[in-house]
Amino acid sequence: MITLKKGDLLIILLLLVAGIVWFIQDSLRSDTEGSLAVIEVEGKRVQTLSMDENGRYKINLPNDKSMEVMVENNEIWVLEETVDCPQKICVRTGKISKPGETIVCLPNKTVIYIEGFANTNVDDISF
Amino acid sequence: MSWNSLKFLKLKPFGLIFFIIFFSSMISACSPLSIRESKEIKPVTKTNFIMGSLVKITVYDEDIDESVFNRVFNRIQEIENKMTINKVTPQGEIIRLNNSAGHDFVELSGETFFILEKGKYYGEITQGKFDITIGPIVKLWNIDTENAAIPDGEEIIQKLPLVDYRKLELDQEQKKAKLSEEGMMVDLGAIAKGYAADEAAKILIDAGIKHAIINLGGNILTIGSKPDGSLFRLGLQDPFQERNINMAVVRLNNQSLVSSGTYEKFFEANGKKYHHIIDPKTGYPVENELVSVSIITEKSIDADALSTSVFLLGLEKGMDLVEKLPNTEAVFVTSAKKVFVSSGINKDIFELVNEDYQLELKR
Repeated sequence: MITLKKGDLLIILLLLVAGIVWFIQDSLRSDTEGSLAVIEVEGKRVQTLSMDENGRYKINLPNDKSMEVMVENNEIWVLEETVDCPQKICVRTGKISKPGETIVCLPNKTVIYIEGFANTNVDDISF
Repeated sequence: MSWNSLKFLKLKPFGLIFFIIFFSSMISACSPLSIRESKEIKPVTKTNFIMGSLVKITVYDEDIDESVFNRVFNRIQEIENKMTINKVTPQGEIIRLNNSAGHDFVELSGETFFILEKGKYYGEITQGKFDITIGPIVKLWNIDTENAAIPDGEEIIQKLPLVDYRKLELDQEQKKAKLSEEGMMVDLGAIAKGYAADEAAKILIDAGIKHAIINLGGNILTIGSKPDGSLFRLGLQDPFQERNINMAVVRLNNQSLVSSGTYEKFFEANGKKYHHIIDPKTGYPVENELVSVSIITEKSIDADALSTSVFLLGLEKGMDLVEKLPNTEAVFVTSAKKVFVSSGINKDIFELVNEDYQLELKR
């Protein structure tokens, strides 16, 4: 016959709660949560932005140029008024949020992509 | 639950605590196993800009020596230097070939010769719909540059006779080549990136990498599968939507996937779209019911050349060619959003993800 004292119950409860919290955290940390937007210029990583930190960020480009991106609600996009290339493909690409998606600016040799884990919807895109 | 029910376990308080620790960790460790396992695989991605394209290498192996990325980029740069006709470099072999058109044979490296041979082969099996001597016409259109404009029709007619892959003479023994008429020009734009992807894969495989995706300007080449054994999932760009929006998902295992489409590179003039897939017979962008063709093969050089070839051949003749070639599959998308697939494509490796598109079984 075991007798549980208050202290024992407290420990049991604490351990259970810890286990449950651990479990929930684990299952939430998937897909877009906590993912990073990586910005590379001419093959060099110049910036990584946390997708859950909303804000407007400036990216320095070659030849003293720059452009700005916006991060909001786990999406990132290039702000049209901040780019001066002819076709503005980077702007037309729109918002990206998932691993495998990229925003490419060929004239400025700049790419923005979402860094993610292997369990994504698509791993890359053929175009 | 009453504490009495725990009596049968005959646990002392310490035993009980251990039981709970064990139980809690079981919940954490087991249930979200799928998430945990794949979460541990965080691929490493590196990018660069070579051959006028984004080059994106994603490796899923653990503990890789990252110097391999630079070796890949340097190799692709070396290939660009040999094959480009857009900038003069000391290594430029195709520029030398073009400059000697109508005059001399030019000695070439083994790989340049190999690509020219492949180019001629695709010319032959498509009755000239694919033609690597399209250079003079491509120069007139300037598509993909800021100077893109509709050329003068007279000029196109003048240059068309210079487009003929049969007038590219190849000397197999001595690895020499010659364009038989002055003004002829080889342009490897529809095949060189595929070759570069194959070469990139060789370097990665030699470095012991078993799971990777090479993306060369939208041309995909996969090495192996994902580390957990599942196939890579590749999105097919929706021809009618912005970049990154897919209309289908294709699963690949050690294969290449290359798409050609009217949406890719184009300019607008007089309210009409002019895309970059030029018919060597007319000198104008091809007009048929297709908006995109995606090819799956083992080697990327084949998928690259075939995506252009098959697009130019059109749905029926293109499908006939694909069905004749071994280990070759294709997905055709028409302007009416109908999707046709070759006989080796089944629901295990292909699924539409946009309801606007309709899979047609047979024509």
